[in-house]
Amino acid sequence: MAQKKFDVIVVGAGASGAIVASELAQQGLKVVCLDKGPAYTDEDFKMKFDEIRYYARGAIIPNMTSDPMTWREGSKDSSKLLPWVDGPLGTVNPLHLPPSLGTGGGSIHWGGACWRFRETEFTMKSTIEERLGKDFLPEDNTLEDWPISYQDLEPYYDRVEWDLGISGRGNNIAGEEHLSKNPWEAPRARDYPMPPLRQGPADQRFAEACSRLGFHPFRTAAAIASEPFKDRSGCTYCGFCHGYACHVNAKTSTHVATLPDGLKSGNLEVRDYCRVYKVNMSNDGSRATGVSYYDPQGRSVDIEADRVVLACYALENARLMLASGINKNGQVGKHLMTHAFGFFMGLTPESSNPFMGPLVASTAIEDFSGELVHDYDPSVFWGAPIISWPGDYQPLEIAQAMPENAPRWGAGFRDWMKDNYTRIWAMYSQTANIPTHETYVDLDPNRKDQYGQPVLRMTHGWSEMDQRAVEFLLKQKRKIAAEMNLTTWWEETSNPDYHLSTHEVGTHRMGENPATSVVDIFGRSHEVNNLFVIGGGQFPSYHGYNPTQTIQALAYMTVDQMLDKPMMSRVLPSMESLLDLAGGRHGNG
Amino acid sequence: MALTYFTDFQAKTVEAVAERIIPANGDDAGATEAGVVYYIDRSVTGFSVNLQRIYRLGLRELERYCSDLFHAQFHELETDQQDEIVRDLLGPEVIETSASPASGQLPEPLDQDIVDDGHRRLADSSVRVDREILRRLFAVIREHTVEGYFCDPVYGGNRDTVGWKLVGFPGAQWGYTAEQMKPGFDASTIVIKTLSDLRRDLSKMTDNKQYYSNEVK
Repeated sequence: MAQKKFDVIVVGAGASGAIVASELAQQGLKVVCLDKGPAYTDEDFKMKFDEIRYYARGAIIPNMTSDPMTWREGSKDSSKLLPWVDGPLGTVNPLHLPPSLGTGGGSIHWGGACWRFRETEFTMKSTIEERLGKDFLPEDNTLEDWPISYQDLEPYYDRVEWDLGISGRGNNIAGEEHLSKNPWEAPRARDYPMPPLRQGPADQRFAEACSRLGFHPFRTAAAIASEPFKDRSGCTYCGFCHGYACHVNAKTSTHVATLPDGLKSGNLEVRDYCRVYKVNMSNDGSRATGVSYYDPQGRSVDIEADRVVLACYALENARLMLASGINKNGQVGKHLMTHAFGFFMGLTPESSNPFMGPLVASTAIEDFSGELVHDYDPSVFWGAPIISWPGDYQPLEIAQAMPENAPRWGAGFRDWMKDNYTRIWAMYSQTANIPTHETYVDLDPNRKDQYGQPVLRMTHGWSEMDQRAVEFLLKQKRKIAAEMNLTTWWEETSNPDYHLSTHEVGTHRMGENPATSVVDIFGRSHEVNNLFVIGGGQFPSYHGYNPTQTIQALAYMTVDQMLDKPMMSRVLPSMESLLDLAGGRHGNG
Repeated sequence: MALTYFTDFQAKTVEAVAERIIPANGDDAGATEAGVVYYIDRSVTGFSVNLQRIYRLGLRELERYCSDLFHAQFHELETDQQDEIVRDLLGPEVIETSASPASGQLPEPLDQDIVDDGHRRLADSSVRVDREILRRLFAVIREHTVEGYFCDPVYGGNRDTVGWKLVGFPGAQWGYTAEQMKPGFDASTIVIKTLSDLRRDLSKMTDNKQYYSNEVK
């Protein structure tokens, strides 16, 4: 039975969906936002200091029973339920599943690492070809340059920072060059609205070691309020952050940062525990008429709207389109990209108190980011920042992150935890796989979920070239570790067993050519012109940065388009000089 | 303390296995003192109800295995005999991998005599046991023991926060001050708090902003 007609249906109340739903409602459109998880209130997370509930038992994330997903390394392999999340207890490490469910989505559980992509990231493919040769990339790669530039996105990055609340220190503000610590930051119109977070206890050791090595350490930006922001509290540094919700709403989760304004307008209705399973189409297939979903009682409900926005993560967006038969050009689900983290953990000589503060109370270096890495090692296709991870570690997480050669049980296990837990410190980087014809998602022909809906199947492996980038950064991390006087350290392999990092992108690529992409730069489907499919799935290439700030900037672009507003593209005076810098060689390599 | 799932005998067995996973040493509490078995017992009647079968079948098999091999029950054995069984079913304490990642130092090698003795005994025996269910049981107990040792005490384990005391974790804290976050700060001076303590605090607080202003000056 069809219910009343809305102006807009938004599927997913997460990092991007909540922005679109809230902004459109505030402009007077009648919006319904559906999420398959719960609608959270402040009361829900006041007592969130519970590693069993949130980490060990994954209270706010999907699991393989409710939301099964399969994986295989290559097209010729058979698929199985994600093997890297199949522990003895049948529970999982929340980092390697799709993001949290419910209002706020992935922005509830995230660590809050915020990055603007550098200018060259938007021209990654042509930059590689220019610097390393046309034949450098593997023959079957499907990389593309972005159809928009950094200048197009700058005003929207700014909006994420000032509307939602991001803390940090801008390094490249016109007229404020004296503040600069990161010579490679893209130019920005103004600083962040809040100063950087207080540093985690061992972060200073990392920063000093990087300085001694001739690198350029700077404070990372964070989607965490460092001081009271709007009606939200500043961070209390409780150390239950990534994988947890915030008890004071300091974390910039969209369920507190934007959804309340939409609800206040009276034009937004949020329906929780509603699982959309199909986009419904007009008879000629040219327009979306609405969606069908299972309500909390498991009944199928149809609703109608003038426009439909899918904002339920790169993976579920692709699954929904495929399950709805929206894929005339065969591009949906292709070009899957995700991150390998190159996790590097070690022990500091003095206590690091790794339970204090969020993981983003940190410092990073960009000396090996993007194309800069070519000056050090031209066999590495693309580089990434190296980022300190000084806090946010509870004992269970560390017990699961011990080095492979540490005792797993017995007196040795007990003593390892006793001697080492308070000296834990980590760093990581994020390098993406090169998308090829062998990295994609589709519907698994052999598996259905509990509602009888087809399950998503990932096909993804780490190529030699992907692994070389991880290995190069591991080498730099070893140098830093030695300079930090870490007494011991251990590393994740450059060929990790996971293929899901909560950073999946590329599966509904944006582009100008309707034959080779799924959506346009505003996330509007080429095939169905009143359907928007937004999120990291839009990315045509992927790099060394956490995706969320860019996902949210793109969401604000979508909002402007849906409201018929012009794009806010901005060229800053400092952009010219920065382009000169970007090609130059810096550091001590 | 009463049990919600295990029989007394099963609980004794699980407790003895857990104590080998995290054994006591002088002032350092082991799994028994931490009440790990009560964490596990409550887990299998709650969140991990799906694991009841592994516990029931696995513990039955372990009983047979111990009777046949040692003519005694697991909890009655000497600790080195218990360790031998754990080693057999869970694998050695330290797994040697050819592709061990680069690392600054290696742990102490195993006492080879103990390993050899265990292998001899097991090879000699004519016992036919369902090793698959036993391996699964021990893998589950290992994970459950670590959880029960480091969980908030509200879950039944980590009694008197002995697990947190061992490693130096202050538990559930509303936040940390700038002073406490200075490099090298001695965090053992911070009073350990549990979820029960925070719930008590909560009744005295009126709004969210108070956590920030009260705790993080």
